[in-house]
Amino acid sequence: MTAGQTHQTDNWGLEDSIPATRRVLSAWRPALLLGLMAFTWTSPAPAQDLVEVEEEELVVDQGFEMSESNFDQWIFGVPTSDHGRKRVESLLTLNVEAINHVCGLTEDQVAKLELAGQGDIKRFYDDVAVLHDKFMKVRRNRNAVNNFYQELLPLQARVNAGLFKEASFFRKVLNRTLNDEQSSAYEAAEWERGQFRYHAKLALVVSMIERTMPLRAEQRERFIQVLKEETQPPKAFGQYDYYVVLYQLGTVPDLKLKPIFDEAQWKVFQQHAAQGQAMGVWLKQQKLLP
Amino acid sequence: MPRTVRMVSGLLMVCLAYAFVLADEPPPQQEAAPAAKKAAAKRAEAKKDDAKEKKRKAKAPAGYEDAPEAGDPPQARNVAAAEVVVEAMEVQEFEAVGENIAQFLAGGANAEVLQLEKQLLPQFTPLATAELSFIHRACDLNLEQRKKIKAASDTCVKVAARRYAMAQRGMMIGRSGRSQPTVPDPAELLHQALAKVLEETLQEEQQTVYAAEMEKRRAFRKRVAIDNTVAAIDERLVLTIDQRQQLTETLDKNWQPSWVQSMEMQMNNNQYLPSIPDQFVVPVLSETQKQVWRAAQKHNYAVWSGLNWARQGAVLDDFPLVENEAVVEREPAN
Repeated sequence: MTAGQTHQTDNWGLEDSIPATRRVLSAWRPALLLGLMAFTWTSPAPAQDLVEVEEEELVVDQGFEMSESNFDQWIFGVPTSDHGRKRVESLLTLNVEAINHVCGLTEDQVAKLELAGQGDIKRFYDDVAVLHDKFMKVRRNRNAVNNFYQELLPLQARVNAGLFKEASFFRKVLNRTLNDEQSSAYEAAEWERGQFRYHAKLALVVSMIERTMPLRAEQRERFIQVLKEETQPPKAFGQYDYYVVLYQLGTVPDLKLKPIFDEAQWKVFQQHAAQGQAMGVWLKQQKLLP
Repeated sequence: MPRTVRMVSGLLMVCLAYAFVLADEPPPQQEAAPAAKKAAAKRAEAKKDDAKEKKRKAKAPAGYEDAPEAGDPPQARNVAAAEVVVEAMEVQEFEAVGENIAQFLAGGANAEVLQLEKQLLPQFTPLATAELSFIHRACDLNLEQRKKIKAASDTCVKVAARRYAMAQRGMMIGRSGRSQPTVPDPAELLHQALAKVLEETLQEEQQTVYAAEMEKRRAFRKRVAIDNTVAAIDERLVLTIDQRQQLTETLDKNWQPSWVQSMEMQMNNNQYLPSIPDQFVVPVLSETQKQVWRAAQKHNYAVWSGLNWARQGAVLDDFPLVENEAVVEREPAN
């Protein structure tokens, strides 16, 4: 094999093939030009209906396209809607079972609750379908997707908080269906669940603060105790529970908290509290603050 | 005209226009540059590279002059060398590191570990700053003790960062040899790195105080991780009070230290369901709950986090190295 052959092989023979292409194109240039002109003259004006469709479509950002799975991920927290839908539906069964466990439901009560829950699921999927159609229209335009995401947040919060909470058909039917004894038992069980969940998040906030401001055991205990006494669980539990606690750090009277820390710690604590307060407007908008 | 026909036509027009442009371009000249010219260009290039390298080394922290920069082309992956690193990490006990941390660092590491270590240092440093402040508070250190601990702390931070980098590198290439890889807790790595100097510096009584505080802090973190994990499962499976209690007890009994890492994810993501072995969860569930649990998407505990918070949050930083700057500790009011 000669040096020249090696060179050709390394470049996949492209250097030789380009001049050949040029020769062909040069020879055929008059014919190609005529063809191009003829094509341009014979192209009819676009139909009116097509213009209307294009006007509805947004400008496409080159190289930008959100896949459909993004939508499912945002709504359900998983990239396939099948998984998410199963989760939503199983939640109804689990809720009815949990209430049954606490209250001892009759068959009639179970049937009513299941029907109401199906109504909530239907209403949720109707809203999902509307947003899905909108997503498919905007998914190739960066700005439009950003704006769309803001519209999607309430729906995302709804599914994260659970579809069978306040203002749901399920909850309304539950309130009307349970007798007084069942109602008391149910409220007590839900209160306990809420306390467990809130106290877990509250301790998590303290633990995270301790990453950069370790506390002595005695300080930690007092800090947690004050937070338990002076703060409240969010209006609706969901993915922002942590920030609801963080926000409330700044609402606890200084008189209660300051004695727990020394001066240097107090300064650091105030910075953490300020971070939480900065989220106040947004948390209020989402109606999460107690 | 249908839309697809218009699109194909448009594409055809672009191809034709390109063909004309191509045909008008002059063919490339196969002009060979004179050898002397090539050599001069090569020398100039090498000189430029040398200057750039000197500048980079001057900027790099001491001990990291030869570590690659972020954005450098990836090094050829030396799997065999990485295996050795991982094996060493797994075999080496923390106590052994504590015995001779200088030797541990002198042992070196491959370039990728060094690069990771360099990136991790600014994240470990705030953890160390806060921890030293805490030790001072808990143990009421004198000036001499503070100076001694401070002098050793930079090396301890380096050791912790390197161990974390080695573990991360080991996991990246999938050579940990474990079905569920263990993620080191950055705070624990730091405590272990500091252990030797604290043992040498603190008086017995101070050591007892610090050990007791550490034990309580670890117990608290474990409890936080368990409660948040149970809360996450409860949200998904709507547990009864009894089930929550049973699950809490089971997790407590079978606790793995690396599970603490799940806390970072539970801050922001209420959909995060940690990958706890079924044997600890399934026995307490009803039939419907079992089905949902098995179908649910779980996440591995191997989350490389634990350090972001240290970068974002305010850091307790008061470890005075002169007597008149000593912190006057406030007596907590009862």
